[in-house]
Amino acid sequence: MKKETLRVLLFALSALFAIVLLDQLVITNLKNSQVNIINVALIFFFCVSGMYLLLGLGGVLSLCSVTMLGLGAFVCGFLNTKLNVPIPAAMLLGALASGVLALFLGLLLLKLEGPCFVFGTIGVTYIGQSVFQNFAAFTGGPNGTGGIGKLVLFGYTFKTFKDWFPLLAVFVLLLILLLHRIKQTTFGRSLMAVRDDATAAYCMGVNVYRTKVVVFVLAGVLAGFGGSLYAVHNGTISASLFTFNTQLKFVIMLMLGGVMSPIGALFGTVLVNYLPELARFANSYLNLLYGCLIVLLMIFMPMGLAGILKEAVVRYRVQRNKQLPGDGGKGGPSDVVS
Amino acid sequence: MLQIENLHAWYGAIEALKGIDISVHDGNICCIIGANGAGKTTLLKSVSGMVRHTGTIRWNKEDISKASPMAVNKHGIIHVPEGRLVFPGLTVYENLEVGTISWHGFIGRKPYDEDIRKVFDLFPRLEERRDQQAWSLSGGEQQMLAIGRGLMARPKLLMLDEPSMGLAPLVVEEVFKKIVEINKQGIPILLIEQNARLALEVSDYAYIMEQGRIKFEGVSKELESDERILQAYLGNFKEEA
Amino acid sequence: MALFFQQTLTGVSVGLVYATVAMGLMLLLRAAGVMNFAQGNLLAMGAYLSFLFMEKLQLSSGLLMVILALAVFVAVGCVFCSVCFLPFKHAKWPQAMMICTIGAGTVIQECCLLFITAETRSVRPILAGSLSVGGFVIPYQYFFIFGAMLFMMTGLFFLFEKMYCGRVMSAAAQNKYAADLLGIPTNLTTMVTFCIVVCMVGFSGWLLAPVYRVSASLSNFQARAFASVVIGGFGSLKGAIIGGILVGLIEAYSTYFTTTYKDVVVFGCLLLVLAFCPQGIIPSGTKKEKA
Repeated sequence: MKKETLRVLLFALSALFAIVLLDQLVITNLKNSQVNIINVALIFFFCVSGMYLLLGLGGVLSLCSVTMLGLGAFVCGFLNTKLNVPIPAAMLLGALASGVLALFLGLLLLKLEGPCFVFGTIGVTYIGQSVFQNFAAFTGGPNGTGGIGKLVLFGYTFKTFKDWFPLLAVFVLLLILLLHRIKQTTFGRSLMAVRDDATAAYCMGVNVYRTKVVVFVLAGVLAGFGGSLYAVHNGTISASLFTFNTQLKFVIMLMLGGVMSPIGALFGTVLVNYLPELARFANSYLNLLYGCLIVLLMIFMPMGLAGILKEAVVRYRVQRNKQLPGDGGKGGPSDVVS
Repeated sequence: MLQIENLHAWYGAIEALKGIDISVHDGNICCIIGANGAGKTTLLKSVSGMVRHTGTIRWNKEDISKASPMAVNKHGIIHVPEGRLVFPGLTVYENLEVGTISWHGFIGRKPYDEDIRKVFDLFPRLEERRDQQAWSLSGGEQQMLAIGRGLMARPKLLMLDEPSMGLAPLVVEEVFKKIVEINKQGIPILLIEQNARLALEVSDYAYIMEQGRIKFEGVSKELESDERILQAYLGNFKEEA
Repeated sequence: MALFFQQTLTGVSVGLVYATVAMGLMLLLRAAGVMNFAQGNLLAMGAYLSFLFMEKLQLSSGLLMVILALAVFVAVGCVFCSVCFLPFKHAKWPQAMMICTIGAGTVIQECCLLFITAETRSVRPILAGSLSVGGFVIPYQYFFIFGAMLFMMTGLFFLFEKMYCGRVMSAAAQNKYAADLLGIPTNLTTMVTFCIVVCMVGFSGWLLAPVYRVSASLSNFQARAFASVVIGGFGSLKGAIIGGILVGLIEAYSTYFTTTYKDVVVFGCLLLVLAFCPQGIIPSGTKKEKA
């Protein structure tokens, strides 16, 4: 156990070091718009990590995280611009609001199984999309919400996108550590049991329904917090972001990086967001390329980038073990008769 | 006559069969006995072309080791899978109809009423349930339906994978009686069983498998009285009985 | 009253389109176990194809157009199947297949936008003019939609209920392993299913084009199809049809009190159904559904 703690600590320290390096060497040299893309990717990772918990650990495919993201963003924006709630409080309330919605939806929908649940969450996304676009008193309608205040932490004001990067990166690091930790708790293990065989898990005394609801709420809170971050980071929010298509993009981010690995998911998120920047030359063919890329990726590496890496490691180990002597099928335990 | 020589089969990197030699003679019931994971099902899957394998499988002198599942079916080798995999949403009658695909072909209409008649004569219970959906049948009825569906394919060799699985002892006996009856019609049967005693009773020749290899083989009547086999595989059933 | 009739008619005819899309969804879910997110893009593709043939190429013969469209649809179906189903037969993670359909949908949509037209276009109706009875007006196109959808549905029912090959296809859909052992070419049956679905959805798009104009936003119909599948009763084709018509009607009648929140009404109904009768309006007969 101690070794494990040490490893995590080492990982955290080296990640912190990497963040500092990245911030000093790469981010400062990028254009503001590019930093914005990276920041937004980091924010989206909150949403994607919720989906990782749901799908990767719990085997529950939910297609309404974008609604949670949107609700968090709009609640935060509304509270700050209309009711003058200070930013940190508004952000927390935004996360809370998403959590409450997730609790309600989870209680309602998680009794269902398989495709029915997925269809339900799709319905939620479309309702959210419509409400965000039309409920002008709350979201500002088609114009969106603007003029959200700046975040001030310990006397330091986060003004530019470049100011935001270290903060977001640290947040993401904490989030990854949290995800890693969750996997080792009883809760995480019962979640994985539910994923692999709900009936067996139930027979072992896991409350399947409650486990699913808890993880759904957790994912909702994460997405809501991400939404609040988005609102404050950008200063304006427009309803056109929180559509079903964005949701599909989130799924792609998760699957691209690897549904079983938070770090893989992070890479997937950054990659999908940054891809348009990288493939500027393709211009009008960009979406076509994007579609082809998804198809090819899914066919040739369905477990994402992290899956490929893991497979390579396993193959290497098998190769190494093969060279060891003492392997062979003879002499099984049931050789008694002969 | 089915002849299998030096058959190896793999699941990924795991070798499930490590050189199997078996032959099923015309008109015989040949049974394969073994514990879970001995590779019995894999053997059948290899014959029907569902698993990656090497070695030679000959059916009436013709090499079918590389044949696809469809081609194997065309030869009249019918594999009735374990666990009674009937088509749950189709009725009993429709399940039987689908069984004819290997000689009927996709399009057109060749008469199969006589085949259905034969199956219903063999399993009168299926006729009673004719228009019921298959999921609503009991375990025994589903097993009969699975065998009946196999018969609809006009088999020249019937491979039955654990027909006794999950059935009550009385039902098992009934199913086995039917298997003998089918065999009397001249269809050779390759039977896979865990219920060694019953299998040895109905079969003519038996193989005993263990960890992907054949450990014993012999005429069933002789194996039945072989002390070593009695102890290792059949339990001391004389005391139980 | 006239308004009511008009809305009922619109609702039913649009509902029939939802129903075909939903039936396609259901067929693929049963046969391939894939939730197809490209359904809407396929619908839009049909509309684009109608624009291509009727306006861009100015083909005159209706029969030629139908044959050409059929050829395109079957080709797309085969490619779609070999991209989105065959590679995933042994996949550990079923969601991969779903993501793949999203990607394929994007490709289809982009191809339409790049190679046919990038702007929203209108297409002339197959049957121009409209019927006006007692103060309300019905464009003939609606009747056409009506007839074509009914034709497709009866065809599908005939295939799966009455014909030998339909039976074999549903057998293959229910249990691939057992079907393989029986010598059913499951890859072929799945591919045929894909082709049927693409044809159905494509021709629906074709018929919709004059009413809704040709644009990529036609793909939004897919969400209503998702709702239809659940509202009608998950797992059965009959349920998909009834659900589709219901969704069409709900949408049409909802214009009485709101136009902006149509989506909320439709999907609110979806959530209500899921909450209170998750079996749907028409519970399906089979206990074992394809999960």
